[in-house]
Amino acid sequence: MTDPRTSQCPERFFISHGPDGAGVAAELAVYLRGECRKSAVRASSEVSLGIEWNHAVFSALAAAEGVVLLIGSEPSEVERFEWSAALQAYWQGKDKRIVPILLGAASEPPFLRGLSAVRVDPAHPSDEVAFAKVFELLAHPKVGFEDTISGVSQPWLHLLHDDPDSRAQLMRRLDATIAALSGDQPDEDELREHRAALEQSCQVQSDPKGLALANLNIGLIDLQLHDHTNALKRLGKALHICEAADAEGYPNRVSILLPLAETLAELKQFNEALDALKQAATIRAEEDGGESPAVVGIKQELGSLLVRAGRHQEAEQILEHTLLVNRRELGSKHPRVEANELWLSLAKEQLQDGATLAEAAEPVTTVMQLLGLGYTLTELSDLEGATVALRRAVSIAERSPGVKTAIKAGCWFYLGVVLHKSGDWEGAVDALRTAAKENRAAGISEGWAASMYYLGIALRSQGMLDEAESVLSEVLEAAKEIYGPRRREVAENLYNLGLVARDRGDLQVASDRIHEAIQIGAEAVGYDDPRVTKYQRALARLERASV
Amino acid sequence: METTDIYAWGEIPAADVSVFLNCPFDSEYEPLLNAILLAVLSCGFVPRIATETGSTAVSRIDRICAALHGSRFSIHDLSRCRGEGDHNLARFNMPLELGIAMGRRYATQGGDGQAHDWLVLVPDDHAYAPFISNLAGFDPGTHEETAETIVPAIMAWLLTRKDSPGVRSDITPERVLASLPRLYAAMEQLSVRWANASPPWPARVAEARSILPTV
Repeated sequence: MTDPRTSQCPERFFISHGPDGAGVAAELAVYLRGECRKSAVRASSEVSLGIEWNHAVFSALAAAEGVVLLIGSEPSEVERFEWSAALQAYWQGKDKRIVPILLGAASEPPFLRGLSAVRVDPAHPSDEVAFAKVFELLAHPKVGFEDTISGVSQPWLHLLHDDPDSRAQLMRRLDATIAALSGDQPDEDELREHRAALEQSCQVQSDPKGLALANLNIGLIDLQLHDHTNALKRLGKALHICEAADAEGYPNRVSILLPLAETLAELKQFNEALDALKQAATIRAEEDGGESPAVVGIKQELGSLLVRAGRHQEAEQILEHTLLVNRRELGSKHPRVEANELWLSLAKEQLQDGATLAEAAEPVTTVMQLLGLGYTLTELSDLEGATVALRRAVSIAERSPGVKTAIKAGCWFYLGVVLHKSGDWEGAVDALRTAAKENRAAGISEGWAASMYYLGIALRSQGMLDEAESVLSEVLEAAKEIYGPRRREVAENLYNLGLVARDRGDLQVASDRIHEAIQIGAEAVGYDDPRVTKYQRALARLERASV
Repeated sequence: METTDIYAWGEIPAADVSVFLNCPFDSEYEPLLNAILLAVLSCGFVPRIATETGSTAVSRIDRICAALHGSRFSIHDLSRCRGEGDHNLARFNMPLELGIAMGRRYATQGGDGQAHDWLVLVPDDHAYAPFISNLAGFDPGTHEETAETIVPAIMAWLLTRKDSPGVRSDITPERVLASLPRLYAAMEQLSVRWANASPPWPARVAEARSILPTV
């Protein structure tokens, strides 16, 4: 069984500690030796004393890829010497990963300022949750002084802490992701309006180029509206026109084949989707004169689709290749490389004897890694892939007693948001209901409010208007209390309540609510903010409908 | 400790951020001295030397003691402790100053936790052990007599000192080294402004401060 983290695990660890950290260092060494089988773990107390001791420490630090500094309240000169040597070793090789552990009430030395250190109580030296976090930081590619703050999995690590600041930070990060998912995009009504206009132009269009373009655009809108059957028809039609003509001025076939593959995958027609991607890769390679970065990107999509289709051996072959090229071209920190690595680990795992990742690895770390994967794939607009990762995270979190409620809540919430964006409203409702429940159990009011907010939206999408109104009204009151009465969160709730009223046909109530949303939104973020202009457009549509 | 107006255009640095430099001050060592100067400033400390007052009315050893006692930290580069001249004799000034610093440490230990702290630097291949065997166990920093090797050694030591003022983690030796050519040019200009004489130490510190690496 290959633990996917092992491939990212440093070959050698060095644990620097003084007398007050000896117990923690010993436990940590045992933990790391167990987690990272091929690694050699060495604590500073294991370095032979003598006149050449300083050289031995320098050599051990130079050889170590991961360094853990245990910081006590009264560090000795020997410990300070090791810190100093670790700093020099880090400066010499930027690939070295350094993670500080604060013991008890010890404060961070200034040279570690700005890092998120792990804290361990020396009275309880076997803190596996903290060790899991240390391992996560050590195993994360290129985590160093600058990178520990911005590592992809970092937002989720804050879930391990119970303090409100960390939670608020997590919520801000989630907020940014969710805004990227849904914020400035046109809403459903606008998409439908646009589609109708394109449909009209199609009917009067005689030029095949224009017809191909209109069909492509309609197909893309249908895809956004999760109407996959119509998307397939339109994209197929656009492709057919282009293939027949294959001349200048027509939409590029790759730009049709990629959304076509996505549509086919949504419809579970994996073989056809794979064919479309292969064709796209071939055309693009011909156009670019070889395996350009765009071609590698398409191949990587092909690999992840093969994993989803259950063809793991083929997936592994392709993903091994793309990883090699991506690492060379993009460096190991690029999100695409991280996604590639994790898809590859999923492909490899399926090749094993049916054992799951969760059974092989420490669950907290695994869950966080999968959340990190979900986050990365979401950023890359691979919602299907993000869903796979997040479902797995939820599944492991649910059956592992060691995973905290706050982590479970985060898994369910993120899964719900991604499912909603993917058009699986029923799944989104279920996930968000659980997220709200878990957040309430964990006492995370912002998490609860965010889960309820998305639950209200998902219920509305499903046509469950009474429940949507009840949920959104509850969130409105909570948002006023948590954020303040004149904040954008309140405006957004009023806007959604307005849409519920409109769906029910109560246009006057809808108009009043959206009007209030505009006033509060303009006050909070300004009239020109995309959210406020979205409210204004909705109000204009309402007024037209009333007339 | 009585202070004078040595930093006439700035404030006299407080002892707990002062780093006394015990190293050669000749033209051959000049580039390394400038690198040390910038490294110390980059870590939030102020470098000080024995001749900072410029006063000739005070004996040299008194000036050394004044500057060293006014500094919580000291750096001693023993790289030049080797035979020189026709008689192949080593200069003893620097080991003497190191001895004063060590005495200062013992005198200040166990009080308010502000004991004097010192770093000895030797070249990578320096056979210091047989000659100063009493230093065994004090872990000297090593360098290859280049700015590229002396800057990290000094920065790593200063940043990990107790009560180090601390700087952002992105002020790295790499950044300091990248700023050195500008410092060398600025020092040449400064020398011209001082009629090609050696500019006073506070002027050099002020000049170096003006080109500290920024983030």
